[in-house]
Order: sequence, then C-alpha cells, then structure tokens
Amino acid sequence: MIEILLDRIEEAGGGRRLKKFLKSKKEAAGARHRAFRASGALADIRQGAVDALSEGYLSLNELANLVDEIEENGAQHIFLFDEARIDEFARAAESLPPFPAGPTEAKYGATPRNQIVARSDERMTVIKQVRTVDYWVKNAAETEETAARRTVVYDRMQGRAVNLIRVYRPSKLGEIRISRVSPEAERLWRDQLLDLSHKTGVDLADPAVLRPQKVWEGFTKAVNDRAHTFMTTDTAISSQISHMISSRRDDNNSSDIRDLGQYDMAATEYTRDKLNIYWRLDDDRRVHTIMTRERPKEPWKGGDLSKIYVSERLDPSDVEALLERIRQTTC
Amino acid sequence: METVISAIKTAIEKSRGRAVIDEENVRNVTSAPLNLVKELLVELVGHSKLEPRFFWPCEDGLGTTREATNVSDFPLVIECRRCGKSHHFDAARVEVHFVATADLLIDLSISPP
Repeated sequence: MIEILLDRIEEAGGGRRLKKFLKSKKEAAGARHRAFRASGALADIRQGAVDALSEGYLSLNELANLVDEIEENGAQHIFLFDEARIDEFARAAESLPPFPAGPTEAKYGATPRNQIVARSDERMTVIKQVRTVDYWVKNAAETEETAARRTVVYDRMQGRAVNLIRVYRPSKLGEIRISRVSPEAERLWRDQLLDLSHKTGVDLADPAVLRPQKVWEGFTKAVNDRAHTFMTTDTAISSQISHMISSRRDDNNSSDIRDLGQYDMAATEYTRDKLNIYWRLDDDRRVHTIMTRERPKEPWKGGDLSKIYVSERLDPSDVEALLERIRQTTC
Repeated sequence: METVISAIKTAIEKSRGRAVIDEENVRNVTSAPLNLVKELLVELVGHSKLEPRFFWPCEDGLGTTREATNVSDFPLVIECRRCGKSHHFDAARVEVHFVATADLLIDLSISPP
C-alpha cells in the first residue's frame, strides 16, 4: 500500500511536500538524525517514508491524508458559486458513503473505479469523487501527412481524477474542484462536471441549487488590483479594438506588463472572457491562475460559469486564501 | 554604429534590464544594415555585455512560454502558462535573442531584475 501512496504523491509532483512532511515527523518525534531520510533525491525520500513507516514514525493513514491534501489542492479547475442550497447537499452527503477510515487500493490506485464519498459538519459539506478518466492524445510520431493522405493517430490515455464539491455554512458559498488530468485534454472538465452531478444525485446545473458566481464581472477590478496581482499577458476588447499585450520574457523573468507605458487595458471600456493573472498571497508568493467565463452547453441551465484554473499544487490554506482573495477582489 | 548602441541601451534602460534584444527589432528601429547589427551584437557578447538566450514562444502567440540559456534545458513537453495548453518542443520554433548581462546592468546602474 505504501508504494501506491508514494506513487500518487510522485505523480502529483508532491516530492517537496513529502520531504516537508517527513521532516516535520522527524522533528515531532525527536527522532535521531539517521532514523530515516527526509532529504535528498526523490528515491531517497521515498525510501525515507518506507523506513519511517516500518519504524513507526508515521502511519499509512497519515500518508493517505498527505495524498488527499496534495490531490485536492491545485492543478484543478475550480468553479465558484455564491449561493448553495446547503440542505440539499447535506441530504445528498447523508445518502452517500462516508470517507473511508483507512487507505485502500481501490481508492488510491492509478486507475480507480468511480466512487463517491461525503462528509458534513457544521463548517461545510464535502463530496469527493475519485475516478478514472479516459482521453485521447494525438501521437505526433505516428501521425503521417502527405499531399494525398493524412493519417492521424490518437492514443487512448487514462488518468486519475479527484473531484470535489465543497459548500460552506453559514456563508452558503460553494466551489467545485475538478482535476485537470492532462493539459492535453483541456475539455475533460465538462464531462467530469456532468458525471459528478449525475453520481451525486444533486442537479449541479440548476442555479437554484448552486448559483454561479459572476467572477468575470470583476476581471477589470482584478486588473486594477495592483497590490495583489501580477500580469505577464492580457487580451481584451473594447468597442473599437481588440488588444493583446504579452511580455517577451518568460514569466519568471518578466516585469508586470501593467508597468509598461503602452498598457491601457485597465480601463473599464475593456472587457475579457479570460484573464491570465498571478495572485499574490500574504507572504508575497505568486499563484498562477487562468480565469475564464465558461458558457457550458445543455443540459447546463445555470448560465455561465466562472472557472479558475490553478496550475500548481498548493497547500490547502493557500487555496482557501487564493479563492477568498479572488472573491473579495472580483465580487 | 552609435545609433545601434544607443537603441540597445535605451531598450535595456526602459525595461529596467529585462529587454529582449532582437536583431530584427534593432534593425527596424535603427534602419541599420542587418549584418552591422549582427556584428555589433556578437561584439557585445564578446565583451560580456549581452548574452544569448533561447526563447520558446507560445504557439498561441502569447509571448514566451519559457526561456533558457541552453536549448538542452527545455523539457520535451511544457504546460504553457500563457495559454494553459501543452506545447511539444520543436527546435525549429526556438528563437535566439540576447539579454543584458549583469556586467552591463552594473555599467548602466540598473539593479539586476
């Protein structure tokens, strides 16, 4: 089981988090320096986790919690809602199985079967889905194009997805987090959202159940919030022009495009359906997001959705702080 | 020659050291012959004032996905922060331009970015 959990951490790019976790375990237990490794290459850290488990410094449950924390926070499309029918979600949660007590291969395997669990407390209701998604990726090496024939080859891929519905009380705010399984299957979120609605038995497409927050209406406010944001590219339209501006340096070496004399897109005459923006957390770390106004087709009847793509994995508190900042700034 | 140097200096100063010095752009701005611009850029590299940098452009035209000092530093696939899609490495698409060295920034009294 431990190898399965470590595989999930590795696949999710959680090496740094595992290292931090092992260090904290070592410190908390007052373990001697050589008790188990908590530094070095990923293979060393993995071995450190195996040693720590066999020596009783950590449990499988704790490691499974770390997997959950990593998979549930970041590298996701997050949809924001400003009014949830809390009781309906609580009822749905009661009819769904509870979160399992310990890790199982069925839940943590690379290609798990579709399963939903739920829990509710005075702070929030959480419904969690773990499933395998299928998608197709173009095989560039085997695709052939000649003047007379085009043979395009696609490979079928599978990926593990962890999707969450979280509704909070008493605020009635809600969010749905959908795993972005692969950047090569950008549109997978649509099917995942509908599947989640079907499996929970709650009509997530009904605005009376879950009302989409109109984050896009505050995109210009976000652009004007210089203290909390950083931008390297922007595309917007006015009644007269469409305007794209983008730094020629990469994001790590770029200055904020809004510092350029040529930038005038913070004015209210510009509108956008998409905003590529970094948000500064309190410790000044920058979190990259691509925020879009999505117009889902039938059977979605709740109107447009606000989708926040968070590209990196984050600590749970960072995701909460990020979403709070986005809501505060844009709404 | 002086016009070209002045254009490069202005670009670096205006950008507080973050400018991409691109031979075509310098030529267009100064109307200097391309071979003269190239010669000068090579000379500035020789004097450790500029250094070559490889730029992997976003396929959706949203600027630079990633830059590197060596082509071998680029991954085979990248998730582009500009457009959110994944791009596969294609050496033919990589552009080589120049950026200011720390040396030049000191000469121009610019703190390194």
